[in-house]
Amino acid sequence: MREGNTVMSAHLNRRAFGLLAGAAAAGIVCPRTVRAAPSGQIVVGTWGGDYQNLLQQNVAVPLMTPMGVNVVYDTATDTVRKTKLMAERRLPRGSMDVAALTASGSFEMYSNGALEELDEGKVPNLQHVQPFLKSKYAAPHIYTGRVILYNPKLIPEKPTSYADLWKPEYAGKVGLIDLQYQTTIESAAMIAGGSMTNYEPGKAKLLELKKRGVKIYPTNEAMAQALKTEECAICIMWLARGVAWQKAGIPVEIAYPKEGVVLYISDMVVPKNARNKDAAFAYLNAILEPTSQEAFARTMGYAPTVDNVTLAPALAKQVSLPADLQSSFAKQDQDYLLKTDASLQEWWTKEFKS
Amino acid sequence: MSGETILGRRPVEILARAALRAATALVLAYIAMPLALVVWLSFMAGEIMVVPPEGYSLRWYGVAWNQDQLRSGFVTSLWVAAVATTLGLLVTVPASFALARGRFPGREAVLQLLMSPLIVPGIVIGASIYVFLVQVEIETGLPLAGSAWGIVVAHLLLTVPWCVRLVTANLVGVNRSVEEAALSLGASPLVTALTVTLPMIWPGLVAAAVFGFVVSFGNIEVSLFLVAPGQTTLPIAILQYLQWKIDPTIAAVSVAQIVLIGAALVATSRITNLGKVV
Repeated sequence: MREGNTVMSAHLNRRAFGLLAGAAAAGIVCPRTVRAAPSGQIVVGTWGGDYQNLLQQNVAVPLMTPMGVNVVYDTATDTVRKTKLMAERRLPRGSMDVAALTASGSFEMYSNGALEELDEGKVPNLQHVQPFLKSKYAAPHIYTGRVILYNPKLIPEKPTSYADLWKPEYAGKVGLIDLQYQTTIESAAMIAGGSMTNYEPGKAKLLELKKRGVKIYPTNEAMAQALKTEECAICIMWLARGVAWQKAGIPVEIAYPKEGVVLYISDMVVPKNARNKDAAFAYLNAILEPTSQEAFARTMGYAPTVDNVTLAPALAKQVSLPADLQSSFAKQDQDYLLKTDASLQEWWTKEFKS
Repeated sequence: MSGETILGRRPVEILARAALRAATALVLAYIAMPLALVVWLSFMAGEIMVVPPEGYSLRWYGVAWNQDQLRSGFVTSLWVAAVATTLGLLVTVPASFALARGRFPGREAVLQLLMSPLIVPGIVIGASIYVFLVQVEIETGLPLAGSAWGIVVAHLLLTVPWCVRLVTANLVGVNRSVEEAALSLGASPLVTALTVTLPMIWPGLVAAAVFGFVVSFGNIEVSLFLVAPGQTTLPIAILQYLQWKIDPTIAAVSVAQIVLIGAALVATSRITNLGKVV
């Protein structure tokens, strides 16, 4: 028995050596990590309302539940999520496994060392992400572009540039949104010699608009009401919001500024101290699945972030940014915004609004 | 506050009575206007509020009822407010006895400390407690950050000032000779407090509970950082709903909340005369 064992042991050792050598070779040739099957519970920090409902209906129930992963939501604004991610960085186990953040938020959290780096080994569907949306720390869930919304009854000539908001004949018909001070200054900068790393020229341009007469609405909702009642005829807004407003019966058409379409990207990220990383990566993979991407395009008006989803032609026309504009897509410089946001807000409040 | 407080039949007195009544009506209308607007909005048929409305409908009440987040938020807000109010009374009634009856160094300072949650912005309270819980978790390993207890502890802070102020004010007004009679007949101080004093300040306790509950139920700033995963309060659910939709569903929810709190106040006023203690 002992002998037999010795022989057996020697035989296994040779086999084990062979297996180990093979595994090592496979590891070198094929760098993708073989991960444990995801299971258990994950906490997804997200916006609530319709967005959470759609995540539940199109990601959690059809894609995560069959894997045996239970999704629980931590509902809050992204400011709260960012604060929590920062505060919990020193904890071995954080309260969120996945966090939904705007592109600027995910950049900020990554810059602060709070996020796990991602690759196609962890999230295979990242291979389908559109090139202009890729980053090494986030799965882009939905995106849209900044456009001009106008009421064709009051603005007969379709705008082609942000500069059209400055036309003297539209004085008093232009509306701006207080909460969107950053993107508004940025849009003005785009027609005044500024750039994604220099918003300063936009300030003087906006003061010109102020002299002509401009209405400032506190929120998107207030703007929607103003467009509906025709108190405002033209504004800068996100395409997805424009599509939603059209569906709600607001008489607006969409125009693309020739200066370029700046993108709004909503990301999903995994904190470094997530409790259930395998399931978190599986969740990021699920949000990039064509079925869930199609559902978000259909219900919320956001464009898919992956290249392997086929939308119905009418839907594609509604939510997708025209292909010929792709060369004009611009992304905000998050580093610049991180440094200048406070001063932009201060200028907006003290000089522009006063 | 009625015109009858100005007596007399001289023209100037009649005029003063009319002016007082008009001013009273104006103030009442000003207070009631937001409530009336919310009720009106909840019945508008269109998704976007416009005047005149495109029609009237009950459909937003159905939409509100079918929103899981709003329903579960309502339940969470209800139990958090109930637990925080109960704990608030358990903590503040003994404290109020000490403050109303005791004469000790630092009494005023203690009173001001208990009232301080009123002067600290809610968002600061919420964020501070959250960071504190994270720090305790780092030091002890106890999983406190993101637990359900965080929000209860924070809401307890919200109820404390209301309970202390109302209970203390009622205790000051108690006729001490009744308590002294009980003590002289052999009742212990604890039995006297429970069977003589507390029944006498019952209206104050009820008022404290009502105000504590209402303040906790409607709070959003403190809760933002402290809701546990899988839970959300009604004010947060409302805020989040508005992030994506602008239809009158939230007005319908607000009407339900107004009816609930209104019913609680009416029921309370039948138990005790709130007007006398608040």
